[in-house]
Amino acid sequence: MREPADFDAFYDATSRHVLHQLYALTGDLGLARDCTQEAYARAWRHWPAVSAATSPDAWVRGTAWRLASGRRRGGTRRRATPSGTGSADVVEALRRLPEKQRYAIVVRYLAGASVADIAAETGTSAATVENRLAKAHATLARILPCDIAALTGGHRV
Amino acid sequence: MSDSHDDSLSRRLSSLDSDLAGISLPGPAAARRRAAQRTRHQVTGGVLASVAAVALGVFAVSPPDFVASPNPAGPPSDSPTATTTPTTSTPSPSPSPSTPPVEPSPDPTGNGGNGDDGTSSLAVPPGTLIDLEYLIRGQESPSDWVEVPAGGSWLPCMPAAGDGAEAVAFQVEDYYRVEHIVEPAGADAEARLADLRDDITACAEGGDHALIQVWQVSGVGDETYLLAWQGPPRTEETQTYVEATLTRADGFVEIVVRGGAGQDYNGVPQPDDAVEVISRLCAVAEVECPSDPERERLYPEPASDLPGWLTADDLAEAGLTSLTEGSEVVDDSSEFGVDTYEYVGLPRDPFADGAESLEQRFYVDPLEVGGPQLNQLRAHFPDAETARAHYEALVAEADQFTQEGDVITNTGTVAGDGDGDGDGYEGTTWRMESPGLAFVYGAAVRDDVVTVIVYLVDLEDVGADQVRQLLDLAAQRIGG
Repeated sequence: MREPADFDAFYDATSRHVLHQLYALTGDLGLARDCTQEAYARAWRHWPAVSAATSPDAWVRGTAWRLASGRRRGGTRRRATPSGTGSADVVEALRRLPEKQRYAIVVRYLAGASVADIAAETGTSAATVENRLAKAHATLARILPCDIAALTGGHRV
Repeated sequence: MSDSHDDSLSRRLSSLDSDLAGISLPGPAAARRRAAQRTRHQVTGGVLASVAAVALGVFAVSPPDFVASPNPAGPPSDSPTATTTPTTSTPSPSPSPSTPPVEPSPDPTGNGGNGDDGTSSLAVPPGTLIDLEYLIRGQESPSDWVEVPAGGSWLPCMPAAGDGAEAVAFQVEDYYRVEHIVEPAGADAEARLADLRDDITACAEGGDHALIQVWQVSGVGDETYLLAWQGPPRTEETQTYVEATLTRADGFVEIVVRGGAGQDYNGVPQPDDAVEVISRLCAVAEVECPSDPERERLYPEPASDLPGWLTADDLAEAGLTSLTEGSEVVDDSSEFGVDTYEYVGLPRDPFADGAESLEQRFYVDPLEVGGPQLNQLRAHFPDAETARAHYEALVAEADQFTQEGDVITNTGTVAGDGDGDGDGYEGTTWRMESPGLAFVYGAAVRDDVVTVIVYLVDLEDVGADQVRQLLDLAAQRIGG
């Protein structure tokens, strides 16, 4: 028996975070939004199984990411980063990471997942995840150097 | 990595939330509706597009200017007014004049009523056009549909109605629209449907448009197609996505076109409009028209079975009946290619063992984009000895592999004589159980090729027998 109230509570509690993560992963608000909503629709279709999963929100995130990846591999044109947004440099930096590194870094630092959880979620080893995180860190440090504002809590010195 | 760098990175990623300010998802009820009746072509994407664009301040034009020539919305009505539409595709800036419906023929199916020209005595019977009840059927929170004058549509590549057609149109505000046209084509119905399909395809493939998908549907009407495309009006953040249903039955041609502003095209066109309009036609004719729609994609043309790889029949034989479509083969030199088996349970590096190339192919359900998929890889080695040495090392490592929280089980072996000339094969399968998920996988060697299959058990389990059967078939296919 599916209980809409349970699903609705899950959606309300997690959807914003998943959207945020998908935006970080794709750099495309529209794509992130559409894939997030579609992933939740699929979660509802399979709610008994999804709700019993260890991490339903990881299930939704993974599904949304597969949808987004499939779109790009299918040749869907990507739109440019919206101009005028304060985080355009972060979006652009993330886009320059290989997909698997990007997934690891976003899930680790935005979703707060452990290395072991990311390894299990992506079917890879903890060592591989560590390696991807290290490479992503190195690339981002090169692309986004001297992040003084962030290090000082937003106040440029 | 320093803590300060970690903190900085976390903050920078968290700062992306500022881009989401003022943007909301459609909500859980909308997700449930989308799941239950994606066929109703939810228009929430359009609403969201407007909200998002305004929030980002990137809307080049305001919503009222977004549509090329919006028709004024009429009052809601439960009974659509049939309208004879102009036979031109040029959008009209003003609503089309309504005309009284053509007198219906005694036989609404047109059987026995056709003149020599196929249309002279055929008329569109009342009750065949879709209505508001259909558009909101089953929705917990119905969209604000209103009937509007037919004709003058701002949807790109909207086909012109034929002689004697009846039409109806509905909109949700100014951003989403559906048109339904019924044409009495008589003996020319087949040719008329072909012309419509050709015209839409040509338009959607030209200029500022893009054809996305074309499907043929069997089991509904005499002949049915679904087409999806995108085109203007567009802004920096949105464009117009359109789906069309083209179907014919007993001398009538039915056209349902729906679309509006959106962010991206999502999913596979649904046959519900075809089922609805054909059932209406049959209800008027008081005949039984069972509907059992089966979709087959025509465009993009599905990749066919490839020598050396699992076939759709192989997957069906092993019980993965929904994975009917194989991808193109990508190799290790392409953007999306791989340089390892990319699965933790198969840790051996084929290139370190002398592989000359590594190719990958996915098998998916074409009706569920982003759904379950089987991955197959083929590593080519310079000779059979090198391949076998790699296979044996791979099996040894896979058998020994452990990871905290995972339970890995060797689920058996497969073997065959091949063609009987010394090119036999052998393979091994495993299952890895992790908290909340499981993978099944296997590897096989034949001649100078090692093939690997990996499947994430998502919501439907795949047993050891199935995996062994899949691997056996994959091994048999090696060499073409």
